[in-house]
Amino acid sequence: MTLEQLQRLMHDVVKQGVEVDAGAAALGVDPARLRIYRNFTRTHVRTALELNLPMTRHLLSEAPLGETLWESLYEDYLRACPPRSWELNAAAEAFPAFLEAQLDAGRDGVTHFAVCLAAFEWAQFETLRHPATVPAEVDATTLNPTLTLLQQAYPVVPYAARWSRGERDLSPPAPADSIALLFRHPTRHHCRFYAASDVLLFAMKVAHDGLSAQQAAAASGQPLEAVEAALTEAQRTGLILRP
Amino acid sequence: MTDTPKRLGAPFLGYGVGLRRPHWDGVFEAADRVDFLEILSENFMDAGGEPSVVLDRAAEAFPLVLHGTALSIGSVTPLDTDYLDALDRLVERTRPLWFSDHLCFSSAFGVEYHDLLPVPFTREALDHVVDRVRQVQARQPNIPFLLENPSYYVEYGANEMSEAEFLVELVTRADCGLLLDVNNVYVNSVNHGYDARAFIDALPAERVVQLHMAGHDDLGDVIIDTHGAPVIPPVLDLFRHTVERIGPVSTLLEWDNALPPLETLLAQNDAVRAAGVEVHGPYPRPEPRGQR
Ligand SMILES: [Fe+2]
Repeated sequence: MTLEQLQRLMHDVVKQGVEVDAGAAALGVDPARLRIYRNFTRTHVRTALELNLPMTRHLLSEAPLGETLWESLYEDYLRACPPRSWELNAAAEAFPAFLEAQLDAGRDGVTHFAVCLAAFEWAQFETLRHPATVPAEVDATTLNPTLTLLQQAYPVVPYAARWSRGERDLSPPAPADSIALLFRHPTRHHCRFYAASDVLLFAMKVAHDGLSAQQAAAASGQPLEAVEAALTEAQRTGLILRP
Repeated sequence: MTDTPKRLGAPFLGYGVGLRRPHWDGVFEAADRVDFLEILSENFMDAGGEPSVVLDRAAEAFPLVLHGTALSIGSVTPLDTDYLDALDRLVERTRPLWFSDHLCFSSAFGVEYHDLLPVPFTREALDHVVDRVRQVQARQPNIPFLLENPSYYVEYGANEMSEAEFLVELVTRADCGLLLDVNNVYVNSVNHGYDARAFIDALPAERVVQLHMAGHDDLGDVIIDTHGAPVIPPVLDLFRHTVERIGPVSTLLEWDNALPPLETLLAQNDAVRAAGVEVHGPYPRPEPRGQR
């Protein structure tokens, strides 16, 4: 058996393309020992999903179909979306798109809200790992460089905020077009998220255009105090950085 | 203390632990009980945010070594250049004393297993891995590269030599270092029925740059290398035997699952250090980074 043939066999066993007993016979190994590798690789994907998408997992497990839905989605995901990246958490990256495809295919129990929730959770993870450095000091009003805007058909932010406070008895919200702002806190490094309010969107525009408070007041026709209040609020969240 | 051979030019660093998220704050307060840190490369490669801050702080405070799990040195699929580029960036940023990965294939045919699948102990695999180790070393000619003996659960019918024979020829021909995981030797010796001491005695001492110590789970019919439990006395005995035979070697306590409070980890590290000191005598603590 060549090295390539052997690795192809191991690959097929862990990817569940070949039965363990058949693979073990071909490799000349103990099937019980071979099964350890299949179980390990399966568990790693499960761990990545459950660690990075806990709200989605909870929602889908609570759905009318309960744990069986989550388990069957997990099995199908394993087959459809094997991990492609050396980063272990990235084994969960394809799940939002996978779930959306299940929704489009009309799979029982998969809701549009669940798809939004999964996308939101993955965006949270990406925000945490975002390669940009948030500067410690700035010369002018600056947008947090780790900012992501997520436009969704459901207001996920209030739901996620209640989840962060430890609430678990949550009902999915009614649909409503919403924009979530996700960014990493400049000093504490955790992921913060807010629904895009008029105040935050205004502060984002001021930072994006590099305007001073006076220039922003003149350009928007708002009183300087209102502009200052908006910028102070946005700075407090960590969305913008000010000198 | 007995002489401290410079293994492939690498110094004896003493007794260190892995840098794990729950201990990110505490480990810096415990610098008097941790001689060096091992960084899991994939946890820090190209990561922004807190990992990036902690990485810089660790490189400032401790001697560092890098340890990877995703190089897939034994895979028939070509080495992943994106991965190697990211690893180069990490090496250049942290300037570790050495970097390492496992003798295994952890990905192939475009799929990552996130596990260490064993390579067969065959001539073909040996030539293949030697060639790939040279490719990795060519990218970082000034920093020693080590391969670790992994724990493995299957012995392929295709094997043409013993694990020890394979390892000795591999590190000699590839001119790389060996990260000898003492717990893995114990686990494999039980799972596959060989003499752990004879295995260690067969290895070229001058190439053993680092040791790993860890705990495991004994399921009765098989031992699983979980890194989630204290080191058991027979593994400590095997460690003493190793140090008796080859002298003091930088020794790292691995604990990756069911992470205990930092104090438990430090107490384990103290126990391993005490076992080492029994054999090799007191040793000079490494100087803080920046004064080396
Ligand atoms: Fe190890």
